[in-house]
Amino acid sequence: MRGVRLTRAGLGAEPGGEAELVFAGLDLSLERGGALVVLGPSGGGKTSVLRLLNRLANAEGGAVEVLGRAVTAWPIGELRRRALFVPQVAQLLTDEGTLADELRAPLAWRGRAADDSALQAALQAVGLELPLERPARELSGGQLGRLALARALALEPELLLLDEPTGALDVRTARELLGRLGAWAREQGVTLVLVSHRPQDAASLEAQAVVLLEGRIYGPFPGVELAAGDVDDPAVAAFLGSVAEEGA
Amino acid sequence: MIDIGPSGLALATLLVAVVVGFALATGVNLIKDGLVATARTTLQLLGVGLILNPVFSHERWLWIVGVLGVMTLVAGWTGGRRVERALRGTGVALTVILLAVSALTLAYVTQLVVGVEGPQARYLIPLGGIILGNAMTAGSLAAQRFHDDVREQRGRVEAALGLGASPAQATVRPLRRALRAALTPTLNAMLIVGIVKLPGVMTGQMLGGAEPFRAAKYQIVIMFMLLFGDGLTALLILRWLRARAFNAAWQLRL
Repeated sequence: MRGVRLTRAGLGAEPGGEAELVFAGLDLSLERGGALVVLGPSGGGKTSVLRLLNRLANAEGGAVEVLGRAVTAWPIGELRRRALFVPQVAQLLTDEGTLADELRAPLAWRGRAADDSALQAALQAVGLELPLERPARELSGGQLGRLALARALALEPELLLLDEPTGALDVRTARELLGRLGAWAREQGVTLVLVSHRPQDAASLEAQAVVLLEGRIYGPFPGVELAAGDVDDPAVAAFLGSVAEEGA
Repeated sequence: MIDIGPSGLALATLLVAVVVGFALATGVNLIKDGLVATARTTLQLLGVGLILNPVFSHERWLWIVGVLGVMTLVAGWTGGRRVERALRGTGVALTVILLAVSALTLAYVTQLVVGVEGPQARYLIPLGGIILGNAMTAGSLAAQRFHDDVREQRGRVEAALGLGASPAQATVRPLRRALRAALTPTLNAMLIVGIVKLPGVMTGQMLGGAEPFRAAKYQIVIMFMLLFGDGLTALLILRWLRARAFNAAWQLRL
């Protein structure tokens, strides 16, 4: 079964949201249980692709399919309980909560409880080895991003949509986190779509990658080849070149 | 109660002139503000007094309901104008809510608590006015606060939605803050009433010759009545706004 499929999907400016590049006719496909990294320059619409998939935004024309059904055919609550979106800027869900409170808040929305060991396991899966009673406000930016990730893992999603989860991390930590995440997703059979501006992330995740450039999808390519710059297409090669320059 | 004659009013105006003059001597020019405020206070209150005189002396339902209706429309328009930019239709919603809440509160207090018989303007109009004025402030404060908070915390709201929160779950914090903001003035007033200041109604009743203990009991009823009217208005406008702030696909529209 398909995990994710975009067919000729277009995206307009979002009501009330920041003006985003308007593009049309995106095609994208991913098997259930697979992992895909969407690469591209910032402001190129990568985030919008994730927002389409969990219906925070609507496609203009075309079709968006998630976990075997059109997003519009899912009851919205059920779609969002199965397909989780974790935004680039990590947010706290409680006012003065501890790590445990933060992890439990979205579980409570579903009427679910979790014992401490389950919460510890979620933190471990993202390499955040901190006591559960630590106030969440004391976390650094990088730690907060991992907490947001752990919060999503604890919800046992079927599809996980991650927006730049490695944005606040150095290269080594990013590689380690994505290694853990990829292993976890394969073990749990979770479909993973991850947005990044770093080609290395696709290699770390051992995933396929596409490149979103000016409203057009290039690929998929094996992540390892993209990370090594081993691509023939001149537009993609130019993008990889610009990223390598930034990194250097 | 002793009637105040024209010379008395003129002497009272002198108080304004004195403080404006003193401010001027200190280097602050309040002449224009003072003049406008004095003129508006005088004209508005004399006008209301003149209009209410016959309403009070005739004691007819139609007149009383008419005056209360006009007051509600003015309150809805004033409060609504402030929140209309939040979301189209908020002004109308606030007017409808004010009408329902103040009618309910006024009926309960006058008929069941106080036991007013017949169309007695001296109970219905002052009590209705207090309910309306306070509920209008509470409602527009709640609506503005909720709107601003949700816009400002858009990232937080969407982070919650993205994890499967319903609109109500995703906005529980802005809603809580908005309700607190709307009710804090009344709750604070309930803490200090009678100790730090004597409220206007109690003062008025005592000026009118009422025995302080009797006036105090009225003030107790009024405080509870205000908390009810403010709270119900704020809760209803917040629930309305929350429902309108999202579409059927649980996407934030603000």
